[in-house]
Amino acid sequence: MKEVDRLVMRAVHWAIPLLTIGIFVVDLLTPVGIAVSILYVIPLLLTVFRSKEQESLYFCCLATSLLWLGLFFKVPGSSLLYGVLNRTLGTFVLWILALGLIRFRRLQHEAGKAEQELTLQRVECAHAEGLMMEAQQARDDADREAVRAVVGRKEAEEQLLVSQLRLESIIESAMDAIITVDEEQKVVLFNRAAEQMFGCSAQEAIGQPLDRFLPTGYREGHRRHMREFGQSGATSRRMGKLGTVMGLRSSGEEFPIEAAISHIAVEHQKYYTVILRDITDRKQTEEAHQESQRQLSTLMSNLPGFVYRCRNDRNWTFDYLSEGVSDLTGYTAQEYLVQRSISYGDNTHPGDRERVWQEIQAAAAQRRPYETTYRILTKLGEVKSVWERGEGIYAADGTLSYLEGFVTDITERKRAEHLLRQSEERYRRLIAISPYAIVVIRGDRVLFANDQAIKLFGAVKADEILGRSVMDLFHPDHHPAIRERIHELVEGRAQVPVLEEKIVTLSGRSVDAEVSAARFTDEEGPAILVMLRDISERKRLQEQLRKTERIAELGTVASGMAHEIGTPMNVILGRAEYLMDRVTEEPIKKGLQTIVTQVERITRVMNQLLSFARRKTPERGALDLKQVVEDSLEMFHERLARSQIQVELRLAEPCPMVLADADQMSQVLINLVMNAVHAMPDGGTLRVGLASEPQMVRLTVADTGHGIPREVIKKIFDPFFTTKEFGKGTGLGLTVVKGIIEEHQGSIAVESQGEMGTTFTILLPMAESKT
Amino acid sequence: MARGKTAVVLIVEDDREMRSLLCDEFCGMGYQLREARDGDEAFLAVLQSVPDAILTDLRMPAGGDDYISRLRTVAPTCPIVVMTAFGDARLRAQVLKAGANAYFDKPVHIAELKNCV
Repeated sequence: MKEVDRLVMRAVHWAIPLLTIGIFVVDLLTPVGIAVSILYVIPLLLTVFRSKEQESLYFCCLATSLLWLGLFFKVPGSSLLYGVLNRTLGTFVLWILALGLIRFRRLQHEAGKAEQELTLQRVECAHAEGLMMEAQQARDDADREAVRAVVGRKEAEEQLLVSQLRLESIIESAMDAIITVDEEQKVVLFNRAAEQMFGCSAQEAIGQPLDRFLPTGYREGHRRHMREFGQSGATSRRMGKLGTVMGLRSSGEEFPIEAAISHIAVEHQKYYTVILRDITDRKQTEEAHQESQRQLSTLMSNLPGFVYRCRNDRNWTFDYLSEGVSDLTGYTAQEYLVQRSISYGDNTHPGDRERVWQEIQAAAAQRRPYETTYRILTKLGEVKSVWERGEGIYAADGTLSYLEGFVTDITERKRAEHLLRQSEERYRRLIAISPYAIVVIRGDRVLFANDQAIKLFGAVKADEILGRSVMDLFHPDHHPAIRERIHELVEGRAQVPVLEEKIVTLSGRSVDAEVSAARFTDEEGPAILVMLRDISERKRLQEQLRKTERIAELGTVASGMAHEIGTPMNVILGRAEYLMDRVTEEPIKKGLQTIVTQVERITRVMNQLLSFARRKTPERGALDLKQVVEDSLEMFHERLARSQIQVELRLAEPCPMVLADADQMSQVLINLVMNAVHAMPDGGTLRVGLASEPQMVRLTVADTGHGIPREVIKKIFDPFFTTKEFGKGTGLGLTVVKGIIEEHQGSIAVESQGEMGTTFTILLPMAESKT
Repeated sequence: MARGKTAVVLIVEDDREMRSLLCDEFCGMGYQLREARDGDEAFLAVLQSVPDAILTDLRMPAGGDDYISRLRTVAPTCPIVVMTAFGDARLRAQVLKAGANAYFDKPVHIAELKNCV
């Protein structure tokens, strides 16, 4: 209804002037006689709707003026009088109406005012009349607003519903717990997330004090917070501002929460809305993160070295550096990072600086990690060896941004390695100089052979032996025994006793060797260490000893015999000679002569035997064989001349000394010369030569006699073998010679070519080489 | 040793046959012979009266290596001829050093022995 009023008012406002102008124009156009001017009554009546009562009066004046003004513009005619009369009447009507209207409105107004005054008096009787107007105005406005409100209400109600639904769905579906409490801290809203968080249904929660959801220790603090917040005037406070508080589940479990709070006032009532987030998981994650950070930091600080991030420049300018650097270089991380008073490039040993740079550049260019060792100089001037590993960190456009890596001290390791190498070298040397030949076999194959072993098997390089079957190296006669021994070792015996076996050298020669073996196991499995010693020399010495012992025994027997035989033989000889002087019969004399001859023969044999048996321990020393040769030939001077034997001496000047016993050498020469003389009954040439050979001296005694037949030559050194006619030789001469020469570590060889004579060649060791 | 006088020769020999042979040989040469069967007897004989010459064996009871030197002490000037069975150069040198005047290996030709004496 107010709307209609307002429209009417607006229409009246515009209608009054329009109608007035329209009536004025119509009045001008109509003849004088027609009383159009009476139409001014209409707008006059319309002024009733205007709020001011004076307006009717003003309009009446205006209308009167226009009424009479119109008469001036009309053509004066016959009806002028009629016109004047007409207009006078009109004016009269207008004014009566205007005054009537004013009077009506005033009465009406007064009636209203009286009514208002009555009301005010009933309430408080204090308001002024002006205020009354304003109040009226306000009421009008209110009315109007009420009209308008009625129109928008439905729409607003719909919007409110939508908004409420939306809010509710937001609140219910929020991940965070949302709790609204009133000023008394009683819960008025409790969303689903809150139900889950606190393990309490909204039904149970609503109306409960908020304290119920806080652990006892936090309640007081919480109340204070709320109070302060309420007084602060702020309407909200972000999550986290309150810091971490603890929540209390209905199960009694406490848990960390993060809260945000806001407050609103609705209908003079303050409400606090708390948004809570369960940060148990986040706390745990944070704690785990902190723990891992701490671990990382502990790890880094305990690293025997340092980690870094540096720029790829020659100073290796650090951007990050762990504390370990100070243990390594003596400079603190601060000195590198903050003061920049030292650069790692300066720490690098000048001898390695360029190499390290090149290596890292090469690796960075290929985008691969680098690994290098080099020396550094510490603050105290020490040199340390370090090992570094790192890699380039590249920007998105592929340029090298940083190098990151780790550096550690390997000085001790290097030292240990050095010591280990030294120790290895020492053991290698021990094995190399071992008098035993050492061979390592695995399976059946030779894996290792030391120098002695290489020499023993007649090889020049280890490769000639390595990889060969162990059976190739031993004499086939010993193969079954060796297999048995290897089997024993493989089956678990730690070692097998020393045995004498025969090895076969690469050239096929058999050599007596003493062999012991032991099993060991290394990373590659079980293997056998074999130690061999060439015992051919020992065997020879043993053989010689055995011979010497036999000879000594023979000597003992011979000496004993000599006395027992000597006297009876002397009696026989003496008696025969005694009788020979006293008999004259030739046959008896001849018989006695035979006895004498035979006794002489026995005597010679006995003497040879004794000289063989009674060889004294030779006294060896440096000996000039030239002197011995000359002395011996001197003894034979007469004999040689008688047999018409020429002597040719070929004695090297100077001839090295030999290590020998003078008497024995003399005996050797005497025997050989005697043989030569016997070989040349009809004369000839005796050639005696002395020459120097490597480490040896060669003595040759050659004759131009009848030579020695091939079948005999093999036996000439055998005891009691003789080619001389019965009774002339003892068969011991050359045996004695050979014995003497061999005792001197020398050798004797004979060469005979039919009628061309015989040559004895003796090799004796030089004195220098044996001392 | 003059041939005019009867020279006394002491024969020291443990072997009876050998001693007998020597006696026979030297008797024929006109020497006055005395005999001893071992070193002790020879020692006594020399102490009794020093002979003009001593012909002695070496290997016999109370003989041996130092026998000659002992004998030499009691008969400083008397020629001593030693004969022994298959001696060697060492023994020979030793005997001569001990004071013997001559040394022979048995078996020895009696003629050589006679020449020497």
